[in-house]
Amino acid sequence: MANRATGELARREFVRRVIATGAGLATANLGLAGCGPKVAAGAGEDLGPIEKGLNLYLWSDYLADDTVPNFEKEFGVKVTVDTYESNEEMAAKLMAGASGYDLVLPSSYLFPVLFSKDLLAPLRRKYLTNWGNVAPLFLNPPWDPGNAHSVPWGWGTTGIAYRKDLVRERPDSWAVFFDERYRGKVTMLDDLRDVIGSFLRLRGRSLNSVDPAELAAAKQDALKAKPNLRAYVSAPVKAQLIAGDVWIAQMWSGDAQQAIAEQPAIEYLVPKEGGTIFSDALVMPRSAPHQRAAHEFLNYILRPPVAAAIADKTGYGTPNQAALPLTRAKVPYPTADELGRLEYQKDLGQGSEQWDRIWTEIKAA
Amino acid sequence: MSLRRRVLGWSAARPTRSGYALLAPGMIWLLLFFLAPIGLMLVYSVMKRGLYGGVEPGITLEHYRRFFDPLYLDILLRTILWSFVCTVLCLVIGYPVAYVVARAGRWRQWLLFLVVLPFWTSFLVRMFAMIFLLRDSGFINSVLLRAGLVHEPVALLYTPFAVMLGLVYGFLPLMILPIYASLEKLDVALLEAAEVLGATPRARFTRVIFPLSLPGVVAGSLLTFIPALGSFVTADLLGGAKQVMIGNLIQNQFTVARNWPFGSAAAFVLMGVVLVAVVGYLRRRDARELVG
Repeated sequence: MANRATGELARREFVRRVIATGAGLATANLGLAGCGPKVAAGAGEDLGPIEKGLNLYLWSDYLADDTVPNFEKEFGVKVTVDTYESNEEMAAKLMAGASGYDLVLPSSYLFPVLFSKDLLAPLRRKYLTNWGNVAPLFLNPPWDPGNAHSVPWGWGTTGIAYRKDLVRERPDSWAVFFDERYRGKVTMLDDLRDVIGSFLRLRGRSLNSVDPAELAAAKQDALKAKPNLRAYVSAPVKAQLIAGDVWIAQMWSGDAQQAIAEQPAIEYLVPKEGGTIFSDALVMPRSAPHQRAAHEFLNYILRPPVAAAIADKTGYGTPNQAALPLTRAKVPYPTADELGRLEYQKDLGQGSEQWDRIWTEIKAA
Repeated sequence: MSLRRRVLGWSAARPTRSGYALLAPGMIWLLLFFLAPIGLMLVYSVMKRGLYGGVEPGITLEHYRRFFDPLYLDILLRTILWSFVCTVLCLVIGYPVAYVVARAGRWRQWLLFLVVLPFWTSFLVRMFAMIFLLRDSGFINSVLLRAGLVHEPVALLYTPFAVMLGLVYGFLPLMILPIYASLEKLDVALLEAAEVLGATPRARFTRVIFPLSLPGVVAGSLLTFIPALGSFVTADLLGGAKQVMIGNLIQNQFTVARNWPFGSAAAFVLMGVVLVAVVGYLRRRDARELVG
């Protein structure tokens, strides 16, 4: 059955893969980074009148259908939306000197990279009259102190989605992937950060670890789990969980919420050892040509109905506390206890080579 | 006569100036979009890795050295084996199809149309379609279950079988078409001559038809083997990413691992293997043909 969401995911996966093949060669970062124009004015300075255009560069499928048309109608601005499928792709393009984008949507772990190349312009809070709608949890994040450069857009976690009608015990530990009773009925994400990260958490380690011994242990766990796994699969697993082919799947909360909307027997949880929390935020590159329009758009998505529509479409949580009651899923913010178990991914820097090797070893086994 | 000599002997006249002018678009296209990117990749493969993607100045052979590690060589060997098996399967399945199509008389156009039909949609979309066929609640299992042939769904999706099925399905037309082309040209008079001279049907095939279709077999095998070597989507989508092919490894270096030089180096090693294999294959065939 090709339901709407499956088709959409297929498309998303499709786009991701097509881009993945081409992206590598498309942009060359031959040390050009940081040479872009630096037009930023002081944070207090007034911006001119609203411009006629606005160029967005966002994750694909991250807008509700009416988000952009309504904005265009109300503000008389022609909006262009370009999309990307990975942080790396977007970062490579920005660092290669791509200009013309007014707003970009990186995940939190990319901020140090963008700051290190001085690519982000400070925001003028006085244009963001709806700022008060942001939940305290998302204010002053460690990667952007005081939210001087970013407006939170969506958040989510990596956890386990399972069929409560087919699985007896709540699989609230990453150790469920060792359980031979579920052989062939469980999947993990096709994502090295999430697979290795969850086994690091299982042993009480940080999912950003670059310690060789800790990583070696995580690798052993991953190898132990592999025979039980039906597959490493990210987006397409949703349809199979809905169909009941797969009973337990490591999943991103947004995908899980979309699946739950179609199959109420699915439940989503973050295991007791904890997992990843991620947060995407809109930022304005220094080279942004339409800075006033960009601020108007930021203020626009801070409106509760607009934020709620986006959350409903993507399945990810909204950092907009006024929008939360308006959303379909009403995913509550993590409690203090849960927050203690959740960790933001950090860029691995030099450690990424070690991670990649381990991932290849797991896959090749 | 070898393929090369036949082509060279096609026209003794040297190309005219307008002949060269006709070549220009193709040459420029190849220069810009084939040689230039390959040159760029060659440069990347000996540069230092940029921490956040891209490359940094500095010359090093470290990435090539890194590739000659049992881990990566194993992946390469496995990929070659898989591609070989895929090519053989395509040949075994595709040859009879091409043979039948080539002598199907008035049905030929329709059969040919059916062979080409899958190309109307992208390879990727066809692989996604396979998921719906193969999964536990998919078409094949539903039929098997309803017919009472099995009591539990057979695990088809995310198995090596599924990967091979996807590869063969994806590349089969590329095998059929060249073989069809060489069989279709086959002069029926030759077969009549063979028959008159007392050749059995079997001998007619092994001594006349098959040798004459060899150019098609070679072309089809190359068209199947080479893309199979570089394929990565099938292993991901139908194999559940539980096995890496060399294509997956390379793709991963450019996206997740952000190690463009290593990805470039791996791509060049793969290209080298293809080149050696293809040149070796053609040389041997040429030599054999000249002797025969």
